[in-house]
Amino acid sequence: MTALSGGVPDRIPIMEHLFSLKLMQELLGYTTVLYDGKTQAKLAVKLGIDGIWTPINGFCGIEETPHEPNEIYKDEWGVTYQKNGWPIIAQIDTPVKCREDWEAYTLPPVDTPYRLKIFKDVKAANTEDLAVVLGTLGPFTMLSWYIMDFETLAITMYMDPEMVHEINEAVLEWTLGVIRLAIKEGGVDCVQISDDWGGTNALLISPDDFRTFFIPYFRRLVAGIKELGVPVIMHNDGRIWDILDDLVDCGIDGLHPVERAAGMDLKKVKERYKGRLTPIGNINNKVTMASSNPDDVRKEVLECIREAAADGGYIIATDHSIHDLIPTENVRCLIDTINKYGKYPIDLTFSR
Amino acid sequence: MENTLERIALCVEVGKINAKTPYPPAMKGEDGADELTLKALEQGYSPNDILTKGLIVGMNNIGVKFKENKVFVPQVLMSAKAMSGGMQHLKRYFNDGSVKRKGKLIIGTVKGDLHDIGKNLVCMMVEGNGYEIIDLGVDVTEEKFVDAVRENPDAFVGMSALLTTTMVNMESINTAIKAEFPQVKTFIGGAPVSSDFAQKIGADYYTEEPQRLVEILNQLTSN
Repeated sequence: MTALSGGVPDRIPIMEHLFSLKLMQELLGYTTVLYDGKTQAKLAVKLGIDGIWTPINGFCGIEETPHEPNEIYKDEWGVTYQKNGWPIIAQIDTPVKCREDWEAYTLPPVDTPYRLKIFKDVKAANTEDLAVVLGTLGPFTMLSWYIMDFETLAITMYMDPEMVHEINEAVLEWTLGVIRLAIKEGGVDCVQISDDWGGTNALLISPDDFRTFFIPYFRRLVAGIKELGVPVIMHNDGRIWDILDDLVDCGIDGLHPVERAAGMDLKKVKERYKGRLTPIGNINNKVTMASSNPDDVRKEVLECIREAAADGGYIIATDHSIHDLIPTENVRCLIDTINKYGKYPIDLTFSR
Repeated sequence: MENTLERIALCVEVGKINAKTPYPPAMKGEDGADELTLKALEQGYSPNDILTKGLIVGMNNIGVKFKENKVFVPQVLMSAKAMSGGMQHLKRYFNDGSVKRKGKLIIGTVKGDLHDIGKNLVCMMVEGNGYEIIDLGVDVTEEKFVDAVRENPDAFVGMSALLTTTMVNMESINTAIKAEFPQVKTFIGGAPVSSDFAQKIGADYYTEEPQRLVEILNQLTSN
């Protein structure tokens, strides 16, 4: 949390999304069918990282009850999935295709027995007092992945822009309602808004369209969370340079994952927004972390330390998540390298 | 003064579908690609000229702008809709053979992957540039790809994947196609994919974005 506020902690913090059943099996001796709060906490503690990401509406495809492989089912939003992955399950259909659908649509209730289950399980199993990062989705993802699909959203922006604003208002109210519920429970260290605005080479919609349709609602979401005294991380992968000034201006405290593979330069992010934004991430999770040589991981970690960590205000992580193609040895290497070279004050001569 | 074909090209490029659609705001109430294609036919322009000098020019222009990151996916989608608005009036000329497609592309998202936005974008842009699309959808098996090539041995094949865990399936699909049809040209694309990966699995081309695929198809079909 010190690093998130731009300060200098005792060691560079480590944060990860633990999306690997293989890692779970190796470290805990079992796997889970659902994304389970207790298990995620145990895994984070066992690894020795510093935070636990806990979605309360921060995750496409999160299941309330287990499903069989390839089973087709609908969630509380009316989104249709085919169970063919873990933990991310891509949707195969969304509920709103036109204005008539929207006018007949009802958002799910804010307060349900399921809503805070993962959060409460994480807190109960958080034996090392790791940071609890509450996960929620941002407006662009809610409209392009949940309520509508991307093509429908894209066309609706131009054919019925008012509808996009109506949906955004409803989603904003819902999201803040859910976040207030969790913060009232106590134990939320920060909120992470997951909202992917960029592809590998460019933004998914134009900067002007983001400013018209999504920045106003994102700004209000961040303000609403910060009014409750909780800092905000934005997860936004892809190449997002052209909208990053706007996002920082909205008041986010941290930016994850600073995707290396999409040309997001850690040093540039750190320097441009020094004192205003803590970058989180930048270790390539497709190539470096999947390498057969852990020394590749070590080198990239040391590079990140040199580029962003010396004066605090940096949290190390991969540039998305730990997945099944990443050898456990490489995960340990990342953590061990930080434990060896990441204690403050950092001696950069040892990192060459 | 621009002629009707130039106007059609402009409407496709800016996404002006028809007179009723409100986009772009500056052209509200004006005829779109839909009405202008009918007008061009009435004026005696050949269907082939309407396609190649009107509709495809517009689609190519937006494709180049997309490649240069000057426009984004929503603008391309509107252009594709405008293109469709015009193309509906040319369907009968394709059916009777007086307008010919440049070639065929079989395309699908590979087995295990349900993402289709990238694939759909490619379909729109390639079709908008005069090719027939055989869209196999998502989660497409090796068998389904090979069957499609058996039915269309003169087609090109495109494979899409969005996840690191599903792109690995491209290799077996490519191998199966090449084993039976070594002359068929294969293309791969998607966020985790690269030219190194294309080389590794023996695919002929990796394309980062749809316009590059169109350019390669145009080169291959002009030879």
